[in-house]
Amino acid sequence: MHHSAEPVLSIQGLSFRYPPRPGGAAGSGALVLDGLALEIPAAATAVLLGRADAGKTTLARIVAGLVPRFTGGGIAGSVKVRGRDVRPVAPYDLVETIGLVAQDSEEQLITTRCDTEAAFALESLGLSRAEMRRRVEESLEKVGLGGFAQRNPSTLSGGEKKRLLVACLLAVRPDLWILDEALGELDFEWKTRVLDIASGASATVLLLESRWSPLAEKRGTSFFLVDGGRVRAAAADARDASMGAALLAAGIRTAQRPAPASLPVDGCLRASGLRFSFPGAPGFGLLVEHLELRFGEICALVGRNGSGKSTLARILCGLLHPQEGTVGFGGPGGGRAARAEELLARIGYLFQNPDLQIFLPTVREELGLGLRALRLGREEAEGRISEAAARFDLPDLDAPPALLSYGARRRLQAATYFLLSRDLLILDEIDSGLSYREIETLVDALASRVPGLVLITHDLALARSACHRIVVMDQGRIAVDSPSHDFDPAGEWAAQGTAR
Amino acid sequence: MGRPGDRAVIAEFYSPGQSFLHRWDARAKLLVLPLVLAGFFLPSAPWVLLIFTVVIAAVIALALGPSQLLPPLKAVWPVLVLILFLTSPFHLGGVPVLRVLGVTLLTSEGLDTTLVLLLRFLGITCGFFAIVRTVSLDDIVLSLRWFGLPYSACLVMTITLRMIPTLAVTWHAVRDAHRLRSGTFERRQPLVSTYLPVLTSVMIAAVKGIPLLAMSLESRGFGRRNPRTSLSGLKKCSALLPDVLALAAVAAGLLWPVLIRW
Repeated sequence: MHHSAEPVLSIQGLSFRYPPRPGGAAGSGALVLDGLALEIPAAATAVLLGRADAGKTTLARIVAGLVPRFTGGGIAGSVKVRGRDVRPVAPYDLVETIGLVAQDSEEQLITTRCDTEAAFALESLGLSRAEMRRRVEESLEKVGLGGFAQRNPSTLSGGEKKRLLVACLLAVRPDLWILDEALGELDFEWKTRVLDIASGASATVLLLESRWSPLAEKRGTSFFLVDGGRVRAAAADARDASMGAALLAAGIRTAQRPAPASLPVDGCLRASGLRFSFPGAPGFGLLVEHLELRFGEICALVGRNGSGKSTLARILCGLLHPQEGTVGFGGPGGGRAARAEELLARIGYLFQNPDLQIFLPTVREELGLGLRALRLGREEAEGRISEAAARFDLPDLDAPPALLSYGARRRLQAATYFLLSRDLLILDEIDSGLSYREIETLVDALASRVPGLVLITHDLALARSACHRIVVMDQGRIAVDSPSHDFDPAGEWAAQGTAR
Repeated sequence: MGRPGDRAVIAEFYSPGQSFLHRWDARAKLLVLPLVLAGFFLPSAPWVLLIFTVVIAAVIALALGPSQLLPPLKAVWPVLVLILFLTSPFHLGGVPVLRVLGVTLLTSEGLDTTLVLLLRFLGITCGFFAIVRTVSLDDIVLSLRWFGLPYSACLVMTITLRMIPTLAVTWHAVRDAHRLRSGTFERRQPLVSTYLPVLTSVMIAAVKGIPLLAMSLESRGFGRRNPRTSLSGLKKCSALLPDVLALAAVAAGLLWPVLIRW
C-alpha cells in the first residue's frame, strides 16, 4: 500500500459516448459522460451520487479498464490512479490497483466455491498456496462467511453474495475500491461493516449510490452529485447547504413527503398460519400467523438479509406453496382462501431484475401485451400505451427494451404492470439503483391504478416517506407491524440495523 | 404449477460426497471416460451395450443412491422419445416384427438400431453424469491442467459445464416472472406461445452475460502473463496409480465382450 499526497484517483475532462444501436447513425450513441472531473485523496471515502442512468456504472467500468474495452464507444479525457494513466492498461494488470464490486453480483461470480471465488484473483497474481489460504480464510472470516468456504456462491443470499465479492477485494487489497451500488442488498449493519473493512484495509473507496443515506453522510469524506455526465455539485462536508439543496432538487435525497393517497378499494389479501421451509435448508423457516395487506394501502416490507421477505412475497403471489396455511382474499362479504391460479392472476410481483420480465422486440409490444386480454380497440389500446409511456417517462416506443438503460428498463417493467389489472402489486427492491425521485414517480403512478402496493426495501427513509404501513420481518416471523407515522426509526428494530 | 422451493438452486452438476466414486482420483476418472465412450461406439450387439449401461447405472446407484439415476434420465428423456419413435421407420430391413393393417411398422433391423441408439445415448449420458456429479469443476480444471491443457482451455470447458445448469436456473426464474406477468399457467396455453417468450428472455440474459463474464474474468486477473497458481491441489501421483488400475479393470470388464471378439 502506497501513501502519498497525490490523489489516488484523478479524473479530468472524461467524456464517453456508447456506440450507436444496431442500425443507428454514427455518433448517435448515448453520451453518458461529458467532461467529468473529480479527485479522491488517499484513504478517503468519496460518495458519488446520481440517479439511474447518470453514468455511474459506466464511470466505474472506465476506471476499472473495462469500458470501452468490452463495449466500444468514444472516450476522451484522462483517468489516473496513483498518477498512472490507467486507460491504456488492461484490466488484468490493474488487479492490485483497482477492485470493483458491481450492483449485480451475479455478473461477477465465476467459480463454484466461495474459497476459490475469493482466491481467483490471487491465483491470477501467482501467489503461493499457503499465502492464498491465509488471505482467503481471513477475508471470508471478516465478511462473516467463515464457514462457507466450500459453499457454492449461487446458493448464497443476495447479501451474502455481496459480502463474498467484498472478500474477493479484501484478499487482494487493491488501492482503490469501487463499490457500484454494492451496498444495496445489505442491511444497515453489514453496510457499515463493509465500509469498516475497507477502511481497515487502508483503501480509498469510491462509493457510487443513487440515493442519499445516513451511512453515506456519516462515512463519506467527500461528496459529488453527477448529472448530465458531469459533476454538478461537490462538497467535503455532508452538511453543506448547497449540496443538500442540489441533492433535494435532483431527487437523490428524500423530502419526507406524506405517502401518496391510494385507491379507496375495500378488501385485502390475507395470509393465515403460513409455514414454509426450503428442502435442504433446515436453518430457515417461515412462520407467519396472520398478515393482512389491505387494498387502498401502501405497505413496506423490511428486514435483515435472509429474514424471509422475498419468500413471503413469493407465497403471497402464488409462486411458492406453503407447507401449511392459506393465502386468500378478504372483503365486505367475508374471506376465502385462494388457489394459486387466482393469486397469480390477481397479485403482481416485480422481480428485482427487470430483464426477467421483458422479452418483446419493442417497448410498444411490451406495453401492449397485457392489453390483448382486454380485447380493446386499436385506438383505445394505443391511447393507454401512450399514457403509460408518458407517465413512466419511456422515450421511444419503438426502442428495443433489451438495449434500454437500467433505469428505463425498470420503468418499463413497472409500466407493464400499470396496464395490467392487478389487485395488489409487490415491488421487490424497487429502490435498487433508483433515486428517491424515480421511486416516488413509479410508486405514485402505480398507486393511481393498483389498489394495493407492497414495497420490499432496506431503505427505512423510503418506507416512511412512500408507505402507509411498515411490516418488519425477522427470522421468518413478523416482528413489527405498524403505521408508518407511528414507526419509531430509533426503535429496537431500526437500532439493531434491521433497516435504515 | 411447479414448486420453486423444490428446486435447489445449485448452478452446477457436482454434488459433494464421500462415496467410492467421489474418492477415486479425478484424473483416473477422466482417463477412463474415453475408454468407456469408445466401448459405446464400437460396433456391438444391443445386449453388450445393455451390459455397459446396466454396469454404469449400477455404479451410480451403489455410489450415489438409486435416486441419482433420475437426473440423467430426466435430462435426456425427450431425446430418448425421439429416438424411440423416429429410428425404426428409417430401418425397415430384416424380419417384420409389428404389422398393422398390412403396413410394416417395426422390423428386426429397426428394433436393433433403435435399441443400440437408445442404449448408446443413455449409457454415455450416465457415464458423463457419473463424472460431473462426483468431480468438482475445480478438480476438473486441475486435472486437465495436470494433463497439460492450457488454463484458458480448461476454464472454457468448465464455464461451459457450469453454463448448462445456470441456464436451467435462469429458465425457471424467467418462467416464474412470465407467469406473474401473464397471470396464467403454461399448460393452458399453446406450447410455442408459452415457451418462446421465456426462451427469448433466457437468450437475452445469456447474451448479455457474455461480455459481463469476460469483464469479471479480466478484472480478476485472467489474461495475465505470469504463471497462474492454484488454491487447491490434486492427490500425489503415487495415489493416482491404484485408482487408475482399478478403473482400468472396470473399463476392461465392460469391454471384455468386444475385446474377446477382436
